[in-house]
Amino acid sequence: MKTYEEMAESVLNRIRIYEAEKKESRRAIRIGTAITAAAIVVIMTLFNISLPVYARGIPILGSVFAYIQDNLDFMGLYSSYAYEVGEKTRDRDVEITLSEVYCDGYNLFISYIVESDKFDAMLKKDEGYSSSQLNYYGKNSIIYDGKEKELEGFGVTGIEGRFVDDRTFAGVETLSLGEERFPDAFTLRISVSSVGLIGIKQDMISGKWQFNIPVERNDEDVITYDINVTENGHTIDKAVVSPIMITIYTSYPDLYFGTVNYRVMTYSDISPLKDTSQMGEFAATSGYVKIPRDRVGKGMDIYVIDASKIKEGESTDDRDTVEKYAIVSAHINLQ
Amino acid sequence: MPMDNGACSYRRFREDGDESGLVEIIRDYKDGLIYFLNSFVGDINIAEELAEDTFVLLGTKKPRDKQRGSFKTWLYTIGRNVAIDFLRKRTQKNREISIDDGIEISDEQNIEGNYIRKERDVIIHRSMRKLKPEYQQILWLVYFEELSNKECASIMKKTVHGIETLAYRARRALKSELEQEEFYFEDI
Repeated sequence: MKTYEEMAESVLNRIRIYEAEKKESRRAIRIGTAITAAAIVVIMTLFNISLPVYARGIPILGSVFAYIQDNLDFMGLYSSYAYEVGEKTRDRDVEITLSEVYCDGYNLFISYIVESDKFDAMLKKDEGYSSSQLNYYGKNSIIYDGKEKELEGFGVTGIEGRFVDDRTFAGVETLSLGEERFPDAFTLRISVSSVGLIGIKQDMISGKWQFNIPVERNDEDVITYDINVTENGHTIDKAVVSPIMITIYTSYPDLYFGTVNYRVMTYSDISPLKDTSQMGEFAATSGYVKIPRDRVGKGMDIYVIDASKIKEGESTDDRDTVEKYAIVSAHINLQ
Repeated sequence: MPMDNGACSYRRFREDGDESGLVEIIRDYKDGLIYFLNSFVGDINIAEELAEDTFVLLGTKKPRDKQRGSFKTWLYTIGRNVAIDFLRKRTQKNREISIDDGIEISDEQNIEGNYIRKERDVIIHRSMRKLKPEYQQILWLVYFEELSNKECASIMKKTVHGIETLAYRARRALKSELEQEEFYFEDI
């Protein structure tokens, strides 16, 4: 571990290197720009070309998933399964486009484009805003058979994505019905009451943006593996494998509520030593964990443990320990 | 730890180019920031590298501290973003962590000894490490950095209500861990 003097020396050296490189790159850009500009003038003069007026049109409408899918916490081929919606709503100089949607049965993935001239000024405030998140407040629900059910969000707060330019954010939000499966067809209702950036403080723009979108479940390439292995009242019920996400459902005795002792650990052929699960929700006697599909190849091992039983000096970071303390375990081969 | 001399030091560095201002910030905030970042990455050595990256970012991008919160809140928010970027890149590379990449306990104990003086706090901190990262982060900010819920909300990008709920759950989980170790603190 470095002393503060050693770290300060390293930090100052890196800053000096950065400054020197920036100076050199500015010089190179100046030379390059001058040459390019001269070439353009010559070509335009020779062929009598005039420049079009700059249009703010976004080339990603209908393909936000393709644009963003390799940069998400849950990476995957969303674009192959999503369909385009392209519905827009505008208020308080903020336009929200619901670009595409994909429901794999247990997860609902929605892509958005959010545009506002206000973002540029907000970003320039240097408030440590996250450039990969856009926060919003509102309510998400589905309506079917005359019933309305509220949806739960998971993963990062708000919409995860990135700025396309200084006024346009493209991102994705994932919602679920908890442990419940989505119906075959439903209306997705989204009501947003404020949207903005989050950093040192949240800079939110209040308004009213609403969508009512018909959505159909797409079960293509979604496989449910019934596992149903039980030991001492602990069951690994099933695994639902979709192109984006693997969800493992478990149930257990009412021993763990209010503790973090109940753990479901998963390892795959791609990640044999590190737990692959990304997030989980556990109620009193049942719960689930979610794993990005791309972290698993052809097979995975699932272990349920009670962390309170683990002795001092041992850790759930170690797979051998997890195997040793497993109350129930299962292996699944994926098709 | 100074009340908020960090802001003065940073202003000296940013506006006057006084490098000693940045050195003071590193001296005063390095250890706490490393511990906070450790709750994201679970590796004290990576947390140290990310803390260094955070200080380099202050020196290269020279972001403006608008002083709407404390300097520490602002610094930790930048650190959090650096940690999240790191985790995102690590996920993209699908990096496998080998057993050798595990936490260097001796380094962590060293910094623990320097930063956390009270025996009670050392016990709490060790139990915290058994909790999930989000619980570790909120408990670190509340107990060791003594930040308000509003400040925690800024750093963790949640609403104040969300922070209250998270802190409640984290306290409950910590209490349970401590009870298993047969420690009982009334104020948890």
